[in-house]
Amino acid sequence: MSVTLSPSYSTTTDAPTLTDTNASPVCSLLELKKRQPAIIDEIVANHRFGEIDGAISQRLKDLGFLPDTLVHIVAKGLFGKPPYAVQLSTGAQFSLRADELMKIKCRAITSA
Amino acid sequence: MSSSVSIPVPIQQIKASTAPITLALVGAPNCGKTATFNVLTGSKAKVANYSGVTVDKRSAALLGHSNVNILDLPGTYSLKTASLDEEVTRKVLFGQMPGESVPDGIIFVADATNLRMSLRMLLELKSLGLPIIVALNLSDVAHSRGLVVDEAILSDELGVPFVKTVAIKRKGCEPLMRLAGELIEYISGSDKPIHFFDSDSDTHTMYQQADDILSRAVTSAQRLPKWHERLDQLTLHPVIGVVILLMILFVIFQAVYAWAAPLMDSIEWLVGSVGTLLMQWLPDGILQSLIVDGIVAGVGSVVVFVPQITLLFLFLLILEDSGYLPRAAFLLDNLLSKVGLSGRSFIPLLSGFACAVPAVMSTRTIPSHKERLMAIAVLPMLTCSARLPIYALIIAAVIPSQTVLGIFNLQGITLFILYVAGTLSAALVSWLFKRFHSAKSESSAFPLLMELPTYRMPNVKHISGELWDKVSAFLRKAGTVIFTLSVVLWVLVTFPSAPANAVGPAIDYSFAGMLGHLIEPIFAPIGFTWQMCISLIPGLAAREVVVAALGTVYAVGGVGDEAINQTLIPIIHAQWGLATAFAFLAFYVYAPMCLATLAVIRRETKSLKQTLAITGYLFVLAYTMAWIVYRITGQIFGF
Repeated sequence: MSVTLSPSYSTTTDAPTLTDTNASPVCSLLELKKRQPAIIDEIVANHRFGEIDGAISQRLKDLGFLPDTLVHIVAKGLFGKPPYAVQLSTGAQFSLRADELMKIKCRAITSA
Repeated sequence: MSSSVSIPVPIQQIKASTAPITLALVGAPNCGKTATFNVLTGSKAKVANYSGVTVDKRSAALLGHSNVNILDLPGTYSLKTASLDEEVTRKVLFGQMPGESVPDGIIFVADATNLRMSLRMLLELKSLGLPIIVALNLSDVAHSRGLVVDEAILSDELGVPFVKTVAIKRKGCEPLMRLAGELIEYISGSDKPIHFFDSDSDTHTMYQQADDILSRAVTSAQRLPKWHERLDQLTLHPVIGVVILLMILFVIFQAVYAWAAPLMDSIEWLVGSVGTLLMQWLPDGILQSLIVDGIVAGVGSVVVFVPQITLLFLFLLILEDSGYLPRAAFLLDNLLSKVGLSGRSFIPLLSGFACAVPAVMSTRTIPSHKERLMAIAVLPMLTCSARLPIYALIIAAVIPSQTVLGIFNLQGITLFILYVAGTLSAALVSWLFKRFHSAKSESSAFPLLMELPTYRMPNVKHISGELWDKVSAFLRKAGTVIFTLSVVLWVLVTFPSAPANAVGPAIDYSFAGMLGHLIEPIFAPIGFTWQMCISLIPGLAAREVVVAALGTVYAVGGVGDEAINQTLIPIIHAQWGLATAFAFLAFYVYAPMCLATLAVIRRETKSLKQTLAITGYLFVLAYTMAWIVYRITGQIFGF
């Protein structure tokens, strides 16, 4: 089943079901290729941020990086280096560095 | 309240309807909040200060309701704040800002193109227990992208009135004005609501609630248009994007330098004609000298640069309005991190090319204290628009207008080199700061986390309004500060007049002459003449004044009739050596010769020590570089 990237407000009907993504292991957004659609699993800690890590997790969630949200990388730096432009299914886009991407655990969606 | 009121009206109601009401304008950055504020208040923002914080307090009365104050709070994504700016919004809403009481109501500006996040924010705001109305802004953009949302359903579900607004269009806010009126009546008529603070509202839960509501209110979701995605593929591309950025910067540079030239020539001709006319019209004497040599020469030398400054501001405003700047910040993040800054400093740094004062203030959006301090410390080195008159004057006077390699103008190249020198020096100093500091403290990573807002058509009304503000502020400065300083300087260079048996030019005997000769030894090693020294002093008020001051000093000091009313360029061409001119340029690349900048740095860093340190290192750098340039140029071209 192919997944469109239009914003889906009814997460129960339009979102890919677990059976589609079961095969994809959880990885950080950093490891995905450009334009590879993925679904967010959870936001985890990154100790490189030290004391502000909690605030960063909160801010990511406030901006819409939540479990069961579709996300994909729009652009990378030269030779795939940071920073990364990331787009949520709502169309909102953000510039994030590698350390922030490492906090976003997700599963790649493979079209069957 | 008159004692002859015949209709019995409860006293509380009469008091309430004229009691001052404060409505807070809240919203995320990039949602059109400022445009909404301008529509609600007629753009008459009064800028004051919150106590203890250096964030500006912008407020103005609602149109048609003189007792209602609209408070434009800094944009924030959430009440769980990340930077100084956002802190202020949170504190004011919670009533924790000293000197501010809790607002009576909230006007929430929601971004229709990011409904999900906006609803999440609204749910957060609801927990404050204050009356809220929602302006669903950018609804035209969302609509053109296919969004169909029923604001009546949103109002029902959230228990808060929604109206669609298009803040940049004249008629786009009429429903909001009506709704605001209703809100005011509601607030006036009721007792103060009890505030309750719902502390741990889980973000995930709020989003789920938002999604739930949207599933009922939205009948057609929006899609980012194809052109938007394709444009971003280009502008965010690591190679093509950088090329585009360089091209944009080049165009701006060309425009400011070359395109403004015909207009500048006209103004210069005008100033010259006014001077000549006044000379013929006024009788010879002190008054003629004051007006022609003091005022016209002084103010005229600066007013000539209005076209250049206008063009510069115009381009920067267009870039800002279009939503392109965060893309540039994305591209430069890597490079900027290498010198200890980040993509977040890009926008403050870019505005430093217009004027360092608002640029230093806009560093408040940088969450990292260290990075913020470094950005502030190097900002004064970026070539601000006030240096343009100085550079342009001296380049025109000493650099021949030759073509190099067939297409490049030598004068243009020199100006470009000066810009690059300022930028590279800023990068180098920042890099050194970074090396020095990271040796001392641990460096935990800092996030970038910048929004890439949707592209939007630059709003002509908004840009022309801002441009008018900036240009009129510049002219006002010319009319007041520069005018006054020119008069004062004229007095200093004219009196006391030369004694009867005077040998040298009259100006040597004046106050300014004496003062100039006094300071001259300090600057002699870098080749400054005493006239340049004396011009430096009023230049502290504003860098452009140096040009005005030189104009006055040389105009009054002219020997013989032909010398009077000559414009500065031929004078400098004749009297300054190349080495001196270059040294002067080098000095001005680095010297913190602007009290306004130093004052705002003091305000923003809240530390006299840091301000003095920054001032100190800049002066040392200025003198040293001027000395090096003077000696090298002198060796090659002769002193």
